[in-house]
Amino acid sequence: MTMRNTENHWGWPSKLLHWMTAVLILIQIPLGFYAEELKLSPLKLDLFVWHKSIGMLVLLLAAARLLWRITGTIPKPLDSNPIQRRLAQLAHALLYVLMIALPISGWITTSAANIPTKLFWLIELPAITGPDEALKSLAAEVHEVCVIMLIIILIVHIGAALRHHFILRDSILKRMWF
Amino acid sequence: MKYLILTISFFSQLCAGGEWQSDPTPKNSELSYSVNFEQLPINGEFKEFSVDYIAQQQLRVVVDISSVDMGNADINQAIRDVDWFDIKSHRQAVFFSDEIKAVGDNEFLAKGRLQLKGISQPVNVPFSWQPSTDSASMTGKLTLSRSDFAIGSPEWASGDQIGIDVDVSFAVEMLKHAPK
Repeated sequence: MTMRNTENHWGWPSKLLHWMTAVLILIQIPLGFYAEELKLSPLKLDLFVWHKSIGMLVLLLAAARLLWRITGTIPKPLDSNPIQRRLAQLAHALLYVLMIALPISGWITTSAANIPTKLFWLIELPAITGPDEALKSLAAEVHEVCVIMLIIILIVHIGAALRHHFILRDSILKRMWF
Repeated sequence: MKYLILTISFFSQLCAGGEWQSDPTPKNSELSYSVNFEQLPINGEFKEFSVDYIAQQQLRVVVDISSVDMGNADINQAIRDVDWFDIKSHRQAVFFSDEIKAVGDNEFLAKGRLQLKGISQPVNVPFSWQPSTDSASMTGKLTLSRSDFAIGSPEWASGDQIGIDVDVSFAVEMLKHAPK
């Protein structure tokens, strides 16, 4: 397995980061909705610590992936249709925007709400803003809009990967696997 | 002559200590606490409270529990609930000293009872007393256990999410009672 990406292959760091992020996001979304719906309880507070911890991990992984992409290359798209290629690029760009916007809007929400956070009960997350009720509501709304967008784009992303694999029968899903 | 002696003794008593009352201006007097929230401290304060002190004789503190503020709308609502402070049934907390002991230069210990959420427990309040001409500053710190006062319903009893120990601190500007 090669490390750097090439014109036709993903290197192992890109693959690993992709699937780690995938697993985390698939846990993170239902976890967030479930914790939000719970009435105040010890479980709710614990689940939010997990939610914030996983969110910060996604942010870190997204930053690493962006850096890896910028300093290297990525394999060529397999779509022959230029519009589909464009749409795929747009979806990937939006996924990156959301992988950054979601953790940051969550971070602002918890900071503005005056709630301290120890990630995984180990590392203190510094507040990025002071207490501010109006900012808290705004950031929480942005967080919600972003997660709806993320769900929609993930459906498109996963749907497109499955279409490539099962209908077009190309190697797009295989080349992301190990 | 008898009246003169009485008057002198009255004034000398006033100068030696006398009766004091807290300055209600919020910026001059503060009663706050800190408690762990998922292992990190969060702060709260009581905006309204009064302190009455007869020098080295008696200390009385009345706290309006409904004036509590933890700087977060959701938490402020939650702690007013029956599980926590239950302010509908227990609006006030009162500390009343039985005894004031001098423990050092300007350092005292008020031994007494705190009635909070309808539960009365023995509590010792250490404080330092720094008098100036017609005011004095009274400061101190103590740690209370919220479980002694049934604050936090049984599901919160482990203290893992919300700590059991509550660090209370106060810095109060005390004003001398004008002689009547």
